[in-house]
Amino acid sequence: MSSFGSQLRKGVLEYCVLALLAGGPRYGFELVQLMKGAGGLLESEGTIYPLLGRMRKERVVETSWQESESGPPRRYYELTPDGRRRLEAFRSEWIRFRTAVDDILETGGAS
Amino acid sequence: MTATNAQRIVDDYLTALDRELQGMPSADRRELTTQIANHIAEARGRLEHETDADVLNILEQLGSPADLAREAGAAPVERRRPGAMEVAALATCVVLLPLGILLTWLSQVFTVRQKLTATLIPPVLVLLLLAVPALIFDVRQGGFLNIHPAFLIVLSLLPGVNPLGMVTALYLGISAWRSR
Repeated sequence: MSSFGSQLRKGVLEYCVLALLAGGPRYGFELVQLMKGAGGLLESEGTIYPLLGRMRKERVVETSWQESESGPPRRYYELTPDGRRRLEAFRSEWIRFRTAVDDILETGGAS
Repeated sequence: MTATNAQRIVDDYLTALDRELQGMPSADRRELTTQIANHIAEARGRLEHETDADVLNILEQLGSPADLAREAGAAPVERRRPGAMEVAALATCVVLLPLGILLTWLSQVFTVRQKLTATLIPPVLVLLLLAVPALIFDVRQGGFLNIHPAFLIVLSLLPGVNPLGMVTALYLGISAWRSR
């Protein structure tokens, strides 16, 4: 599972981040905590930051700095319209994909 | 308190990360190190009684600097062995300093810092050689080293075994071969 699992995680991580931002802006540390709560999605916590940087460059998220009452200012990430479209495209694709794989795994193609 | 080394541990981690990200555009590099530094600050801010072990755990969960750099797509920092090119540069420094410095800059093994230091060693040494005796002796009376500065400089640029070049070569050799 190790290599396949890690490839799969890598592939869906971006969309999980997009989904976590669907409800409103969040900052990096917060995203890490939520992702950790979901369990098993983050191999190491740091990997989310290079990903966030790439997503910002691809303009699926935009960022703004906000003061925090404790500690350094926080960089908040927010979905752009492009990001929202990408998330919705993934959502329908994923559901189709998941259903197809589940069918085959469960019935062995016998149905 | 048992967090006596916490700040140093964090600083070392961030320094290592910055080094691993060398190949990246500087804006991306700064963005990532800021993000990681802020993450560490957030995590530390949530600890009630911070210990060194807490800080080590935070860093371990983040992943190693090399892993982060790989994730960020930074080309792995090349730690190439000094080869024929570097030996040639060192040898040339001793016998024909200007060419030696040029070869040093063409090498892909020496770091920019090593190249700069190597370039600065000869002029700084010339200045020291001229300035120190001038402080001790009255140069106008033809003191200890009554040499015209231009003479020393020209001498250091000419072919032939050159003490300034030897110092430069010695520095390059020690710093390049030791950092292996």
